[in-house]
Amino acid sequence: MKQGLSKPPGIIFSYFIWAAFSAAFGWGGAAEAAQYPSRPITFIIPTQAGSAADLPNRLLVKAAEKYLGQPIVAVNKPGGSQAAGIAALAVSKPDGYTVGSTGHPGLFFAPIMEKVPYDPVRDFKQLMQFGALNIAVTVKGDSSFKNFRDLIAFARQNPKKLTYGTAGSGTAGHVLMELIAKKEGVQFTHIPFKGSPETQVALLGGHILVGTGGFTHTLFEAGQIRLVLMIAEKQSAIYPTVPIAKDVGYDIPAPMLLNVAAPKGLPEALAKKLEAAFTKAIHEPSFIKGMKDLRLDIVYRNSADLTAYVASNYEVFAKLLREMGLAK
Amino acid sequence: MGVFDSLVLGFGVALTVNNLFYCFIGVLIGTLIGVLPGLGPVATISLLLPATFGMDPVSSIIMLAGVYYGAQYGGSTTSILVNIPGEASSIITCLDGYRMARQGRAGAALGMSAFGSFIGGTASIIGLMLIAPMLARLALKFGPPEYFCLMLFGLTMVTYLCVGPISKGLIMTVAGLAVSVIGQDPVSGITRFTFGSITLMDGVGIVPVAMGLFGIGEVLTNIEENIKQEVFSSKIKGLYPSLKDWAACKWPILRGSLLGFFMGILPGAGTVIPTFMSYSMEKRLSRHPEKFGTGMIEGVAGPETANNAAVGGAMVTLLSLGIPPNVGMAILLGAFIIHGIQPGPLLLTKHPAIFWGTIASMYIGNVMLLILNLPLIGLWVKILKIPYNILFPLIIMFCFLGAYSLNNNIYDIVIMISFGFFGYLIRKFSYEAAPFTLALVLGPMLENAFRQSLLYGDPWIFFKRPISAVLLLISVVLLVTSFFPMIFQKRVELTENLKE
Repeated sequence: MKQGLSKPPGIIFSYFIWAAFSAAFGWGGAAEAAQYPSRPITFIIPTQAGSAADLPNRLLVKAAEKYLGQPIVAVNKPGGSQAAGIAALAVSKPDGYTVGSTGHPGLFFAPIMEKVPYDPVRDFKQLMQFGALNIAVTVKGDSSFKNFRDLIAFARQNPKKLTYGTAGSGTAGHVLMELIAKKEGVQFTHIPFKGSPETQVALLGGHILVGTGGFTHTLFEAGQIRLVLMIAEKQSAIYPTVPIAKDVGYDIPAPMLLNVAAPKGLPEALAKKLEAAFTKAIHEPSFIKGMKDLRLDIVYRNSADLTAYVASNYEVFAKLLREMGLAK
Repeated sequence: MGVFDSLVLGFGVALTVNNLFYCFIGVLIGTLIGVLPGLGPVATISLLLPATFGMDPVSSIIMLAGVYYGAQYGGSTTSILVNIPGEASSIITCLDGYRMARQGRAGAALGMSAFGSFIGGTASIIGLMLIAPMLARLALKFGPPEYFCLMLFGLTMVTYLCVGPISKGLIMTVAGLAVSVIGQDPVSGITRFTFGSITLMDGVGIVPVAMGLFGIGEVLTNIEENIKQEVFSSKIKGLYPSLKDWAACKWPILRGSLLGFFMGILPGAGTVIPTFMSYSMEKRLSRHPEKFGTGMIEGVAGPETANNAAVGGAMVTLLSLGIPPNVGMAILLGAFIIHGIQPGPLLLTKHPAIFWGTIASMYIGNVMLLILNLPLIGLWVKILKIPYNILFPLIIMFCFLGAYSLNNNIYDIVIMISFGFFGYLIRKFSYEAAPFTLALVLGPMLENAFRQSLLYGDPWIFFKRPISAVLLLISVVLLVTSFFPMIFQKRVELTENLKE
């Protein structure tokens, strides 16, 4: 920069040039981007360790480490339907050393139903999506319901007798079942549990007729539960014989995404580096095998697509939850 | 394949040098983190998980499982030494264990806790091995009404937790129930008393509260008295339990094993509730119930056995159904899955070596833990000799670290400190923390189960189902009979008054 000590306007002018330069490229700009990352990166997982949304993130983190040349440390910050972890991500410094996962409860449900200290659309730089969680409508293996039409028929003839369990009020399973009930003009009875393991146990014990939400694959393999309907946007490659919501005529949004995001204001150069690293990671054989073991489909969206996807789904759910009376 | 042959297969897997090594590492780490207050098996296993990616599946499971049940051994150490529960399952050990330490009998308490843990752990593994599928089916029969009646039964035991007047205990119980309301209502999704805080949306955590009430509260009380005074009796009366102690504890250990194992099977019950129930049961069945709370070794033996037995019980649902009954098991399940193994109904048939190898390693792990913990007693007891004015800042520091490590959330520390002051206050006014804690643990489950049951539409549902009706009956009987001594006492007083 200019050393014009004898020309005061010159200093100010060059200061503005330099400031504009930095603002355009981020503090430090291109030089820093070349050195990044120079220390370990934190990956915030907003759910309890071992949960359905935790394991795939850990797989990704392990696969992506070598493309960034630094360890990526997974940190669990559970609480408040993912709001705690996502809020922590929103307030962290956008220097590329803190990234995290922002799942559907924290993006589309919690902010509409509760007051949260972040804006799910504006406070994040979405980097990429790598998967989607499995949400399904399940029945006990020996249940007399053979398909979804049977369920609806039963509910129509026996109002309030179709008991379905979910991982809690305001979870995807609950909201989507109520949406279906409204569309069909039937009445279900919702029994909320504290998580999908408890819902599964209740289903197996015959205390509820249907379970909606996450499910345990081994029970399906052993024939102890049957998947009647999957709430997904595309036919699952892992469960090819199970119909998805669209097949039975419901146009339901199903953005149960597994993604990587960073706080807003992340310099573009760093964002590109992170996106590239994670995108390469999902092609790693170890990651592909891991996702297969977890019985999860690999669903990819790049940064631009994902940002648009999140924004549009937020609008959809805001409207939906308001109609159902669940908005704050 | 007969059970015996399977076990031989399992030992064949577990007794390799590699697996023995990992078993040892696992139980060692488990014991250490169990000793550290707050830091629990959940956080540790999630930290170790990435390290196990390159390892052989069986070895990593053996190590991680070792961490989990090792933590149940270590948790009682700080409970006994400094009245800080290392784990939520060691809260009740604080009551009599710490009293024993103050009287110089820390060694006996630690020793009995180690032996009880060993017996409970081993017994539950035997149970797991022999009757896992049957038990899993039994666990499935527990629906919302059954859980409600079980929790109610647990709550009626609260009267047995009180050393002082029952009325004060009941006040604390209601206070605990009131605090348990804080958080998001699972049925309607409405947040109650959270004042906008995301941390409180999941309720006030039991671990920060227990660390505050028991640990920090005790520290504050001790500081108020003259620091220079010996907090702990300088005479250490023997390092191991005496024969008399053994004679007293044989039934509590047996009962604790059975209670812990069967309760551990139920998802959601966890390792905490069996310990409270065991304590109450021992007090009820003891010939000297009034001495509980002053340093009765039965009050340590029963609960410590129960919490280790509950681990075996929790493994039942995990291994036979593939459903984790609590958070610790969920992580273990994750570890299985990441290594390509799916616990569940097919585990036994698809991967018998892994199933039996894990079980065999649990036996070995329990033996290792016993051998590890007994010599450590001498070491732990020496810690008590540190002058209290150096010890208590260390205690507080470990509490802070522990509370933060739970959820990486700084507000857990705030909760702990707040309840620390609350614990100090209740001690000043001679109220007790144990009924409060039990109510805090049971409250959410009690309310959930009740409201879930009512959603079925029939308010008499609790009486129409066999298991819940029986539990309800037992609760009522226990509650009524617990008032008999009081009624009897009043009648004696009345007759004496009439005579005058």
